[in-house]
Amino acid sequence: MLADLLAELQREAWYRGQLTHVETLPSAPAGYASIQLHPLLASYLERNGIRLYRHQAEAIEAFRSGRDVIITTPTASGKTLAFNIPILEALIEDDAASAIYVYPLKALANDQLGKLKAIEAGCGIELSPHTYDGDTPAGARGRIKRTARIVMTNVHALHQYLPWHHQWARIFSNLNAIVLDEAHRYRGVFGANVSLFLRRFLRIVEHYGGSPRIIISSAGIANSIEFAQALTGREAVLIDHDSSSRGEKSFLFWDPLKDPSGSITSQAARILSFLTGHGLQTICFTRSRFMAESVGRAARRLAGDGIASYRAGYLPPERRRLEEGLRSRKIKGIVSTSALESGIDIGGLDAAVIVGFPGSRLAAWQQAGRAGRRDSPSIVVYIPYENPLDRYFIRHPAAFLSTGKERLIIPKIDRGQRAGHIACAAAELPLREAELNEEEKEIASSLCGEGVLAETSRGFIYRGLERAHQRFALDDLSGQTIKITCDGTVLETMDPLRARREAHPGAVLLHNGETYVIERLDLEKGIAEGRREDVPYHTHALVSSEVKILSTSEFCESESSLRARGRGMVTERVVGYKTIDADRTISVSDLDLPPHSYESDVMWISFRCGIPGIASADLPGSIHGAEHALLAMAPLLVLCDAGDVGGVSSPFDPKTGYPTIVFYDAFSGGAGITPGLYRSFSLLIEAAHALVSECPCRDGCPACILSPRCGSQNRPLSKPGTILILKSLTEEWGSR
Amino acid sequence: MKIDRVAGWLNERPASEEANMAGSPEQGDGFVAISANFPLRFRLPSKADVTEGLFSNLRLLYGIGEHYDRSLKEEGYGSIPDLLSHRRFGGRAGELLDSWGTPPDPSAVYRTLSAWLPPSHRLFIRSLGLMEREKIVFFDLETLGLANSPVFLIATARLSEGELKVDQYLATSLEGEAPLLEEFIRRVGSTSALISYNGRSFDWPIIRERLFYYGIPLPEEPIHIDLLHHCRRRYRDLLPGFQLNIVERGILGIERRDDLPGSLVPAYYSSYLATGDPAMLAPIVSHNRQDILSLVLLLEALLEENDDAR
Repeated sequence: MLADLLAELQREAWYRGQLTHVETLPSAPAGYASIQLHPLLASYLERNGIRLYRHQAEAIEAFRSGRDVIITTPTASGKTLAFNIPILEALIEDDAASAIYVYPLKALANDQLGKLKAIEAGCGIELSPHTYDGDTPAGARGRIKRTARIVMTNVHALHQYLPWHHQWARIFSNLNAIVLDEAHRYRGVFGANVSLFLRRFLRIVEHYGGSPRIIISSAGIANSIEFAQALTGREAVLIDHDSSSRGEKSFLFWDPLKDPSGSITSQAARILSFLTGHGLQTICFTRSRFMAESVGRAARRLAGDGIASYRAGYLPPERRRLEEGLRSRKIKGIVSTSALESGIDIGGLDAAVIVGFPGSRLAAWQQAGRAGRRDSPSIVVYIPYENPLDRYFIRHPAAFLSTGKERLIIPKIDRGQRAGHIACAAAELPLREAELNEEEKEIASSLCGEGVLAETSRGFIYRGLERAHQRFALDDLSGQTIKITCDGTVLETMDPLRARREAHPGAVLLHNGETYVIERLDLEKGIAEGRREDVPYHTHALVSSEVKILSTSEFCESESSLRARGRGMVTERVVGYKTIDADRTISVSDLDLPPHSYESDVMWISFRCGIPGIASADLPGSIHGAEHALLAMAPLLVLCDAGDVGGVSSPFDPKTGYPTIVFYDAFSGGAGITPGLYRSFSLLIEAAHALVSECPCRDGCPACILSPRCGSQNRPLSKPGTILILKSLTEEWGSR
Repeated sequence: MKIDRVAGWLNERPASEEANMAGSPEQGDGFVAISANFPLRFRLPSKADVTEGLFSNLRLLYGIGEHYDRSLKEEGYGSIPDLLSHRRFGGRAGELLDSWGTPPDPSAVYRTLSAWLPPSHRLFIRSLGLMEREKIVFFDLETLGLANSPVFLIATARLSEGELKVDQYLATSLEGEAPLLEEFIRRVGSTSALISYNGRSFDWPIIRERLFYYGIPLPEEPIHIDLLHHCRRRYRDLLPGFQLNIVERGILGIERRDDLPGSLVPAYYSSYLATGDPAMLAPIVSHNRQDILSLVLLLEALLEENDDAR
C-alpha cells in the first residue's frame, strides 16, 4: 500500500529524487482495562462505545488514591478523558466539590469546554462548567463564581484574579482538583514564573481550606517527574506508557534542494495535492501564516477547492464549519500554522506535511500526531527549510525520529522576578516569615526598604502605590515589560531584552502566525507599535555581544581544551537587522539601540594550545564558525528556540587567557539552557561536527555555519578551520 | 444664608480640637484616634414627615409600576394606607405596613427602598429622619494607593445634640491598619446608617477587601447612602463634574485654603512612614477632616433642597 503510493510519487513528472529516507514505525494494538466507574459515567462510556485504555485506568486509579498525576502519553491517546473521568466522578460524589482547569492560553480553554459539556449532558449531571477569563462578560462573572463547579481559565487571568480571592471562596474552599493542561508550555523562564504563581495559588486555596489534587497533562517529556516536582513543588505519579491503539506510521524525508527549480512552497503544495489526490486527508503545517496562504493557494490551483486554510483567531462559527468539513471529508486538505498543533479537536487525519522544523521535536511530534486515526496507517512528510538544524534532520532522520520527548527545564529565575512574586503574594494575604526561605526573607526585607512591602506583626504586607498584579504581569515579574501593540490593542508583552531583538523598528514580528511590521520601539515608555501586514520576508536582529565570565561552577579539562559552565555578565547590543526573503538576505539596516547588560548562565570552551592545521590568521574565523555550528545544534539537545542562546568567540578571552567560545542564555538571570548544553556536551559537539563536515558547500552556507543573526555579519569565517576545531573537540569530548 | 455660615465654619479650627491634638489622643493598638467636636444644629426630617413621604409612594408595593401608580392616584388612592381597602393591593399594603411598624423601623424601610427604588431616590436620604441621629455615621478613608492598598486613616462623623463629633483613626504605622479596621467596624455596628461620598464604589469595597486580606470576619453591610448618587441626580445640569471639590465649590460655596490635594495624600503618608516625621501627617489629617465635614454639609444641602422641592 505504502510502496504503491511511493512508487506513484516517484513516477510524478515533478519528482527529482527528493525522497531521501522513509522510516516506518510499526502499529500497536490497544491495551484495554476494565475499571469500576460511577454508574453514570460507566453507562455514558458504554453508550458512546468508549472503552478505557490501560493508561487511562491507571490515571483514574492514581487520582482516586489522592495523589497528583502527570500524564505524558502522546497526542490523541485520550489524555483529556483520563483526567475528566476521575474529576467528574469526584464531583458527582461530593456535590459541593469543584475543579479548576488551567490552560496556558485563552483559546485552549474554549475548546475543552465543549468536550466537558458533552460529557455533562451525556451523563445527565449538572456541573455548570464555564470558562472565566478576560472575555467573560461582566454580567456573567458573579453567576459563574456562584454556580460553576468547573472553571476553565488561563494562568495569566488567574494571576490577576488572585488578589480578589474572597470572590472565589466557594470554589477554592471546595477545590478538589486543579488541571494543568498543555503543561509542556510551562518551561524555561515562563515555566519558572508559572511555578511560583502555582505556589501562590495553592497558598490561597489552602487559606480557604481547599486541598486539591493536581493533574498535569503534557506532551512527551523526558524528565516528567522532575518537571512535575519543579512546576508544582509536589510529587506526582507518572502515567506515560501509551496503551491506545496505533496504526503504522511512515515518515518521509523530503529534500527540496534536489529540485533547485522548485521552491519549498511549490513542492509542499505538490505533495499536499498528491496526497489528497490519493484519497488521504492531509494537514500541512507551516511556520507562518504567509507561508500557509501561499501553500494553500498553490495547492488549490493543483487540487481544487477541497483545500482549506486555518489560522489562529478564527471565530467559533468558522472553526466549527472547518471541523465539520473535516469530519464530513468535504475538506480534503488543510494548511495551517502551528495553531492547529494541539488543543483543537479536529480528530485524526491520514497524513501530515511538516514544512520547516517547528522548533522542537516536541512540537514536531505533536504535528506528526495529527496524522493517524485509530488503527489505520498514516504518513508524515518532513520538508526542511534551508537552515542548519532543518537540514541536519534530512541527513540524520534518526535524530528527528529518536523520540518526541524533550527535557523541560524550569530554571531558577532572577531575583527581580522572584521579588515580583513575593510582592504579589504579600498583596494577596499577609506573608508570614514562616512561609519564606532565607533567600526570600532577604528579598522581602529589601522590598520593605524599597517601600513595596511593610513588615508588621501579621506578616509582610503589600503597600506599593499601584496594584501589585498589574505591576508584575505573569510574563515578566521584574515589572519591566514592553507592550507590543497594533491599532491600540496589545498583541503580547516582552521583556526589554527580547523586545530589542524582536520588536525593533523594522522587525517583522510573528504573532499567532500573523506578520506585523514594527514601526516604533520606545524602551522608556515600554511600548512598541506595529502594523498588521502580510509580508513574504522575515527579519533577524544582528546582535553583537560581550560576555564577562564571573564565576565557574563546573569544569572539565582535556589535553588541549577546557569546557566549563558558570555565571557571566552579558552585554548585548542590537546593531542592526537583516531582511531575509526565501533564505536570501535582501537588505541590512543599521539600528541604534542602547546596550543592555544582564547576568546569566554561561558555558565556555577554551583552547589551551593551538589547533593543529589552523594558522593563527585563520583562528578567529575557525572558532567563529565553530560557535555558529554549535549554536545551530543547541535546539537538538535542549528545548529552546534559535536565539534563546547566544555566543561570543574571541581569540583571547581576558578571563581564561585562551582562545574561547562562550555561550550564554539570552534571558536576564539565565534559563538553564547552557547548563543543559554542558550536560549534553559530547552530543552537541558530534552533531555540530556532522553538520559542518557533511555539508557539501565549500566556504560555508546558510545550511551550516552562516548565521542570519551574526552581529559581525559572518565575518570572519573559515569552514576548513571550523571542521578542524570540531573534529579535534569530537576526538577529545565525543561519546565514541 | 446658612451655607455661607457653615462654609466659614469649615475653615475654622474648632476650639475643642486643639486640646485633643495636643493632649493625649486616644491610643489604640498602632493607631491614634483624633477627636474634635463642632457646634452644629443639624435638622433631620421629622419622623412624621418621613412617614408621610413614604406612604405617598405607592410604588413601594410589589406590583405597582408607573401605570398603576397613575391610575390608582386618579382613583383616589393617594397613599399606602388608602390602599388597605383596595381589592387587589389591600393585602400587600397591609403586609408592608406591618413589616415597617409604627413608627416605621428604618432597617425595614431601607430594605423596601433598596428593592424598588434607585439608590439616588430622595427617600433614601429623607428616611434618615427615622434613625436615631447618633446612629448616622459619615465616613471617609485614605489609602496608600488604589485597590489592594493599605488603609491608614478613617474619619467618622456622628450627629449629636447640637454638635458634630468627628473621630479620625490614624495608623501610626502600617501595623495599625488591621486594629484600625477592627475599631471602625466595631464602632459602626450593624444598626447604623453609613453616609459616604463615592463610598459604595470605593471606600466600602476597600474596607471589605482589607478585612478579607487580614481574615477579619466581615460584618453585615449596614444601610449605606452614597451622596455621590444623590448629587448626580440633583445637580446633573449644574456642575461640570462630581469630584468632591467641584461639588464643594459649586453647591456649598467652599473654597479650601492651604489644602493638601487628595492625590498627594499617599505620597505624604509614604514620606511619613519613611522618615517618621509627624509633620507630614498634619496636612493629611486636616484634608481628611475637611472631606468629612463637607459630607455633613452636603447631606444638609441635599435635605434642604428636598424640602424646597416639596
